[in-house]
Amino acid sequence: MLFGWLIALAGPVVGALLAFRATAPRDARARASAGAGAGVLGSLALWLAPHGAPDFLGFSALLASSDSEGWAAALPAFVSAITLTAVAMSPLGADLPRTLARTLLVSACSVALVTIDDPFALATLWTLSMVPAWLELRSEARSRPTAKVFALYMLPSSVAMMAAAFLGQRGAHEMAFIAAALSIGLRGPVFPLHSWFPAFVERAPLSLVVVFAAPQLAAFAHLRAWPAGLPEGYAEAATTVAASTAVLAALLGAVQTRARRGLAYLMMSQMALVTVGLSASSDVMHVGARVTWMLVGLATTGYAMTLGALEARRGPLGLDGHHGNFARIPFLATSMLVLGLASVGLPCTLGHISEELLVTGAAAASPGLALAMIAAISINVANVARTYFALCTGTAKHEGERDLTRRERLVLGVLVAAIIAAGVLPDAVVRPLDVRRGVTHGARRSSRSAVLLSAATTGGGRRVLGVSTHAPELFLERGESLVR
Amino acid sequence: MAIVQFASIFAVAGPALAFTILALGAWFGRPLSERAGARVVGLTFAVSFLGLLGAGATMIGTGTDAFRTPLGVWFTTSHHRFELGLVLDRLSLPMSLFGSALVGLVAAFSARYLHREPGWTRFYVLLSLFGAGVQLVVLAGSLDLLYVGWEFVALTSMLLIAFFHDRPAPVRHGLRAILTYRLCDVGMLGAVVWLHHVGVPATVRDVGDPFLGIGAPDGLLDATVVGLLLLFATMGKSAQAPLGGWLPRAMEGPTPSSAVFYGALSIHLGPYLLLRAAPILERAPIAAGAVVAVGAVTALHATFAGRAQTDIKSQLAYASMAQVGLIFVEIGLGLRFVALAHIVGHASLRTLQILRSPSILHDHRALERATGAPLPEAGAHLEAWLPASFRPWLYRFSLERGYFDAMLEGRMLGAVLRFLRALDRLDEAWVSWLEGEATPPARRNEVSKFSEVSR
Repeated sequence: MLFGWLIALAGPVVGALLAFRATAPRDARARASAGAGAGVLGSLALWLAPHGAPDFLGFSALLASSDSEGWAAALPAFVSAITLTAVAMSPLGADLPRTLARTLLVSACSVALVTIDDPFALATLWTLSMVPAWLELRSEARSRPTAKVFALYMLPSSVAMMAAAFLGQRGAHEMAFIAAALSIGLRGPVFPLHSWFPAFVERAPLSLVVVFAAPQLAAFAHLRAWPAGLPEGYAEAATTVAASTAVLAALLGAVQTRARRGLAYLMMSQMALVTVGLSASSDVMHVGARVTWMLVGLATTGYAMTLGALEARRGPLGLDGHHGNFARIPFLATSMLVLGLASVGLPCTLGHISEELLVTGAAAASPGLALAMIAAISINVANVARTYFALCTGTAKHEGERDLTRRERLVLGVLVAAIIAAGVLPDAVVRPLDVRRGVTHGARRSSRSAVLLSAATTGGGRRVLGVSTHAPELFLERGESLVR
Repeated sequence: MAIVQFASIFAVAGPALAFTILALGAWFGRPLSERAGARVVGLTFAVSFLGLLGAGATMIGTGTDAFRTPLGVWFTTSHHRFELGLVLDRLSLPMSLFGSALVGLVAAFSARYLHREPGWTRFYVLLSLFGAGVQLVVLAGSLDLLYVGWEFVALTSMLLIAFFHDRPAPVRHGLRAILTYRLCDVGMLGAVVWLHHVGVPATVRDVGDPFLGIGAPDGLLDATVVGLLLLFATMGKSAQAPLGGWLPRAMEGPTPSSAVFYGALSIHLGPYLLLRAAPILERAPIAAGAVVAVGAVTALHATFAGRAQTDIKSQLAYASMAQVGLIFVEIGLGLRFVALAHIVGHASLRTLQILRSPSILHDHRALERATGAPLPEAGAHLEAWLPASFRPWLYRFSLERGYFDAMLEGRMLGAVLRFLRALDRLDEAWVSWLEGEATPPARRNEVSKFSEVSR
């Protein structure tokens, strides 16, 4: 297990170093892909390897052993898969070595963040993952102003996360809760704290955008901070804010005239749907949120990188009018459509399963909430369809852009196949994600991050701000029924 | 009963398999030849048709009114199970049989009609997926499963309307169709959500009627809400007023797909869903009345608008709308067998008419040669009933398609879009201010063409 963890971390870091030292962009991409690939293998070993491996220099103590046997053990593989897709699909450019190096550093921070179980380490990695993205924005004259906006939003998020960890340790749970909510809301992002995100997506390289945003570290921090669910009053508020964000972002995405900005709002809406599911009281929604989290991460990465591939061939992508000739780019167009629609609920893909779980769960909780989610999903479909038609169809003219290369077809083909396979046989994905909040298979102790934010129970005996290390349900063994 | 079970499963799985074969071949750069592709699809629907015929004969022979084919659990969580099951009954059997026959015939017809067309493989891929989607809608044992097929039909409809993708008009119309579908899917999902919320299983079951159906909630209000939501869901797919503006535009697609989608199967899935939901309409007279009202308004609107059209496919589209409006009226009034017979009869006639529509001038001249005189003008008897002063207004009203599109786009959608763009500009201005730029980037000058895209 430890070996896998080290490979999962070292792969991207070494890949970043090698890519940075490469002189030719093509070499940089090959080296970065190799590093990301090693990260995927290490993550898979971490996920699948048996426990009980001997400790090595005390590193095992860092690992989040409470989750390492459950679904959270898959998170490093999830982050690594996103990274590999983004890196392998990166279009060539003069600055590619530097960009790929920073992308891989963000990935390494994210992998570490989803495996290390310490609130201060989490807050530190939360901050560290922002630094390469900020440096990348700073490095280009075009995006330098956006770096300022990025810093204006991310710095408070970082400080707030650190404050949450500190206040939680000191027992100021209410203040810790507020700080953590602010930090997560800023990075999430949720309305009205979102303005940095569309600007970031528009100005940063898409590979960096997806590695920074698609793993949805805000969702992870949410689960780490409140594994047993939010307290009732706060849960309602969080659900309302997230549902409003999902609908509003979907609406704004549907009226954009630039593809990248449309992508930004699409991602924002989808991430908000995940937050709705995590914040709501329904267990079905909670599972749906986790499935959506995985799906959105992978499908949106593929969708964004097809946009990136097209942008590299054609230049800035406008959604005003029609600019594509499907006959010349059939594979690119089909990949864009399938991945885009999969991310918003295409039947027989994992997207449909996530939609079904989210909406069904919401139905039991509140029809109004379900309606908001249905509306957001429907509008997102319109966004994807509109982008596809504007970029890939509508004209017989051909600007000379080529279709997907063999490498791109392989990457996107594997991604599409995985999403369809998971949609046709969803139990393989849904079952591991079906864990009661605050409980994972084989859990021996609760997350330390959660304990630091935990508070006393409120009326009715419900634990409201976290879980206790002594909660009896935390001692369930693997295979024991989690249904009461 | 093995034949019935086989027929149910193959009706869905066969076209899905054909779709997979054709799609994988295309993805790996080795598309099937026209002859092989047509054979695969044709054979699939032929076997499906024969299987369903055998199933029908077996069910009649054994006096079985309904037969369920459970397919197990698709996925499960601690608190939720998605069960797969197909149902053959007196409603789904004729529809399924009819669907297999029509898609198979259109597949055979298209082999010659689309010979050497650049998008030949794409057409057959989408036709196979459509066939699977229709069968899933018809045979689904629950609303949740029905929704899967419903979405496949919407997707294939969108892509086939935009089949001739090198022109902007078909693409715009494809987008318009999917926007309408998705808007109305809110009704479908909303109905499922409401049924789950009130604890009524959204399964197709024996409700004491001639057809199996979806059980009605106990409360009158709940039944009314579900009924109205289902009505809204069907208004998009079946092009009912005021949301039917996409249908005449959808005729931009290849003629065979127009025939099987908008003359035969896709447009009748709305009435089919309402027939399945008949127990809910019975329980909720307001919803049933709304079905009658929508159908009647659509029938009138389409009758008048259709007479002002100048091309045959638009005329046929409005004729389809009018007939489906009448079917809605029949369902709202509880005349279910009449509605089923009307669906089958109308779909057969309209498919033939649309398939023959490219030869309209040839047919017209052939008729004139046969009769030896110009053909009489149609509709003059209606004009005679109207006051002369009213006729120009009615003509303009019909020519503008009842102003429905202008009202929806200009008044409702337009206002929403203007508000959203203003909000977005505000956000961009805020970011520009934070960035330290005096004015927002030049990108602000770009005018959104969303309304044009959706026109």
